[in-house]
Amino acid sequence: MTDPSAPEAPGAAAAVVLRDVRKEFGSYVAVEHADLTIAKGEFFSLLGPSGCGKTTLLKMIAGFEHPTSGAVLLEGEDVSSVPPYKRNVNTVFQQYALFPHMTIVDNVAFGLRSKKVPSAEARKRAMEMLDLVKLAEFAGRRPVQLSGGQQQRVALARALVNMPVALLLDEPLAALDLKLREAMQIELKRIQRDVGITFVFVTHDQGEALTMSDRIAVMSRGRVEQIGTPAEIYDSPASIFVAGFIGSANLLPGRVSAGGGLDKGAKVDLAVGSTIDVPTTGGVEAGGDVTVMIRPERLVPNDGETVPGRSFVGEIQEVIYQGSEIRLIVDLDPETEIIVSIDPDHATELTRAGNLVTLTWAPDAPFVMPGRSAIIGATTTDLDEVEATMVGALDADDDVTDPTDDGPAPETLAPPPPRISRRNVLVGGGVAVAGAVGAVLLSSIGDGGGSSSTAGGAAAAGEAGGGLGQGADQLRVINWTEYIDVTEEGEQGTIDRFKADTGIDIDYSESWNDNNEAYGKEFVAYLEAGRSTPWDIAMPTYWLTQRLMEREWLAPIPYNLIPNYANIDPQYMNLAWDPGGKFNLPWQAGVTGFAYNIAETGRELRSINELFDPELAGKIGFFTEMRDSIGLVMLGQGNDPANPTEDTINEALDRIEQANADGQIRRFTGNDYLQDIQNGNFAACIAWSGDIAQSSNPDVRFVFPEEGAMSWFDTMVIPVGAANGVAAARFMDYVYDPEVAARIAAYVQFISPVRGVREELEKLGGDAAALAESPLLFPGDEEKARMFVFGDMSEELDEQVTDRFLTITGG
Amino acid sequence: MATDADDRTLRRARWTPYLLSAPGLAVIYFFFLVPLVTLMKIALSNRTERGSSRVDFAWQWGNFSDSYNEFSSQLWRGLTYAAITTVLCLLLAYPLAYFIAFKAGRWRNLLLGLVMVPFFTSFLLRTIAWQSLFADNGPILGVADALSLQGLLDTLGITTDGKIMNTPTAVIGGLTYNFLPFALLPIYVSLEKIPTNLFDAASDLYSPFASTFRRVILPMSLPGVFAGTLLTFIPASGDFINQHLLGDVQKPVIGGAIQSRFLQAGDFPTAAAMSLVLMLIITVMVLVYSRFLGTDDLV
Repeated sequence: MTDPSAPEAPGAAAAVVLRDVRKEFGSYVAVEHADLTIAKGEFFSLLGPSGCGKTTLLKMIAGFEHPTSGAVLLEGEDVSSVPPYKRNVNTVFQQYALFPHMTIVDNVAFGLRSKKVPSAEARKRAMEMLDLVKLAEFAGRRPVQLSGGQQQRVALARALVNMPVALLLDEPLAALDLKLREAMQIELKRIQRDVGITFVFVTHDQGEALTMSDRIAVMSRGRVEQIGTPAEIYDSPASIFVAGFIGSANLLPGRVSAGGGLDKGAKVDLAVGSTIDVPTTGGVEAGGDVTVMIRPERLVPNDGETVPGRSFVGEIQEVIYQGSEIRLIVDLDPETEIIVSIDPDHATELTRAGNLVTLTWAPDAPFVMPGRSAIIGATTTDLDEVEATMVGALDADDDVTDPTDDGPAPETLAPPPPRISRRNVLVGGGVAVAGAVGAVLLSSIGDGGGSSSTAGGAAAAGEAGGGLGQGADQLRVINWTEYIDVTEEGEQGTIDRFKADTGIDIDYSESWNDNNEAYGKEFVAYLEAGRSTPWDIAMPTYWLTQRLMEREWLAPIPYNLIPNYANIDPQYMNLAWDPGGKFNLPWQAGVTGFAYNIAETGRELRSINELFDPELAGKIGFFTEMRDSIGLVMLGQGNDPANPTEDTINEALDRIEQANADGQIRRFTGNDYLQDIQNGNFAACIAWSGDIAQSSNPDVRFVFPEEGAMSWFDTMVIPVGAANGVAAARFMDYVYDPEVAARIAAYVQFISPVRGVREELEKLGGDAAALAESPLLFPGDEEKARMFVFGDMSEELDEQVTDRFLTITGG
Repeated sequence: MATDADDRTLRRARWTPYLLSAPGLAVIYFFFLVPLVTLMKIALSNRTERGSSRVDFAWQWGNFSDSYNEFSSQLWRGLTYAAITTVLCLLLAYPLAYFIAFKAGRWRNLLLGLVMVPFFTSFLLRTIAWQSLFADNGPILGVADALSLQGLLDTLGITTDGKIMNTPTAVIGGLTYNFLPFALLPIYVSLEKIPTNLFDAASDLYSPFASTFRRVILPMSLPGVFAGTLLTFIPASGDFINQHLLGDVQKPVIGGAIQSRFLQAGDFPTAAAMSLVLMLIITVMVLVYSRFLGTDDLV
């Protein structure tokens, strides 16, 4: 619809012009055929129920939305596709949208600063604008420190300070209380007059629109229904919708009477039964459907004097007192209620509920519109009808957003779980729990205070646990991970079979990650604090067993309860540090040699010294396990690791240090070396025999070095004060049964200290039988002669060597 | 007139605040104060027997200077790695958080989930997985090789002799990967809290996106940036797993030094002194940083 009533400002283009604007969101048409001309300095309102498209229209003027077709002109210039920040209009948002991290004055100066107005000048103009909205004293505050009404005025000042072509207000008063809203309406009007800027005001509140606007555009379902001054819209609605939406109205459907003219002398036969005179028929011919609107305040009650063609008679249903007026709800017939508004001064005996009343009106009061209204009678008495009026259509203003459908989601990296294998395990895993260990250590230190002898600690432990408890029903074992056969493919593992065979309730933990760490965590923390450890059996490596023994933290093994003890390999009876093996029973033994990846080396390696070959620089891995690394190098240097001296150890450390400085050694590892050797980071590295035997990569080979290999063994020990001595003995006896030991060996693939395992493996057949032939599980005399256990060091030397080794390995 | 019962009620009311704060105070006492004082005590002690937790308290202030002198290179290397990691995490996390908060629409929760999913597996395994990715025969160098980028990468210092594994690049890469969510989540939360109508408001006030980002989005997300960088920098400073699993032996970091002093060498006083030195340096850095960012103004 065109807008003939737009006042023309002489010599200048209108502030805002919309030309046949249409906006679609997908298949939904939010706005169509919008033609508007808003003059400079005009207070123009867009009025309609929610979903009518008024906010979309405003957003197209602001630039937040772009029309699907048609054009938006600002001061005669087509800005349809110009982004908001390049349009000289400003918006006051419904929720104010103040910048919470800025002061009030900085908020107001924001737009000026965007336009590169110098800071001092921007500030000055912002302060002037704050003066105008009476908030100058709040300039230094933050938005949260202001009330809703004050924030609203800041938002207004922030927009106005830019002196825009048009100020766009999106339901700016909706969030305010009624009183404040009314005051703000007057204030807004005053400000608008003062600054003379064009205001485009969006509201669903018709009272607000009528109060403030020069002109109003009433919208419904995406269309502009009528544009006009408040009086035009109120008195001469262009459609039934407008009549019903603006103010209260009584809508009475009917037909134009036959014989009457279009204008003078026209009559309408109403559906309620009476025929009334109307000033015009709104262009409808005789017999056509029309709706007659009579505003409630135009109806005058009196006590019986009817006027032909200008009166109804009905019964007063209700009297509603509203202070400045009184509303009567009058039944014309059971179907049709109308409302009548009277001045309280005119309330009489007559205007009481239940009375019959005659209503008359002035000749120009009825207004005829073409079409038949769905609403019959008063527009404000039926809840469903009111709601139907207020919600025009789908609520597009709020819900429609830019439908950003994005591309495929990026894939995440799911790291493949690397294989964790038995023994010595992730050194990192050990250190990951360092925090926990530290905490335990600290707690024990807190108690200890001063120094105390080791014997004192052991004595305390002895008192606590009484040497060795006699418990026989429960057992608590701590071991390295993957260091015993497990239940799989229907075959029961040793732990489960032990449980079934003996009825002993075994608590088996695989949390022994690192010797040093476990020493602190499982022994020092408890025994120095005078308590016994939580374990009945632990599995330290031989050198730690030696240290534990020296601190008197181990209970003698109760051999009288372990008949299978007879199966032990006799070499373990001759340990210098534990003659007769009184305090330890070997668990598994192994060989430390080195491994190489033939895909990297391109040749076979035999000698330890080849690890120092410059050709393999940067591709060599060493162990953080000190005795393995130093021992192997000593062998390469022709020294005897079984009888280490300060000189020979330092000779080996010199070599390691040099290789490290030269970049020969890439990394010192714990059990995590398997990754490196398999994926080519290492060409060669120190390695444990069993790990390589299980390696999935055929290029990776284990070498028993020609100079010899280091050998080690892990032991079963009973910490002093352990509660379940009898059960511990039962377990030791059980695993020293050659058949059980063979099952364990077949799984862990290290050297079993139990005699008879080889024969049992042969009996098992299959893969297990093949293992019986492996020199890594059953080294022959020739290999045994070249296997060395790292010898004893004095405590002082041990400490010195440990410190130097740690420095080299990056500690 | 007050009855005995009223009196009792009054007395009880007076004690209520103390009773209510007691559990909190107990937690602070046992989990912060006691460990700190204990650590301090150990740091001031003489070493006694190797591997024993027993120490002789002796006001050994020299432990601090000794441990600093001995391990200063590890200390500053650790802090440098942490600083670079923090910057990288920020550069990666901010755009990602921004995208998830404002552009991802209905994919938002899915994307956040994807960021978190790897963290349901162990920190250690994830780091070890990077050994394969950084490996000499691994995919990253494979791609670089295929694109003939190795010379360039060497020149830029990203690779060393054509290797990533066991170089500072690998350590910083691992740290960045591992700490990314700690930077991302706080930034995401602070961005997500920004009402989008502020973007419209800024745009309406003649501010193009770049300017809006600088004047509105960035300042409003600073609390998240602050939290995210701290949550990255502080743990990264003390981390040694990445150095241990991915790094160069000859370039050790402070975290590794502390752990090996504690667990391998059993040298508790030095380890404790170093922990405190590290703690002190980080505290000072954080104070300066928070002053610089002025975050107490924003929170």
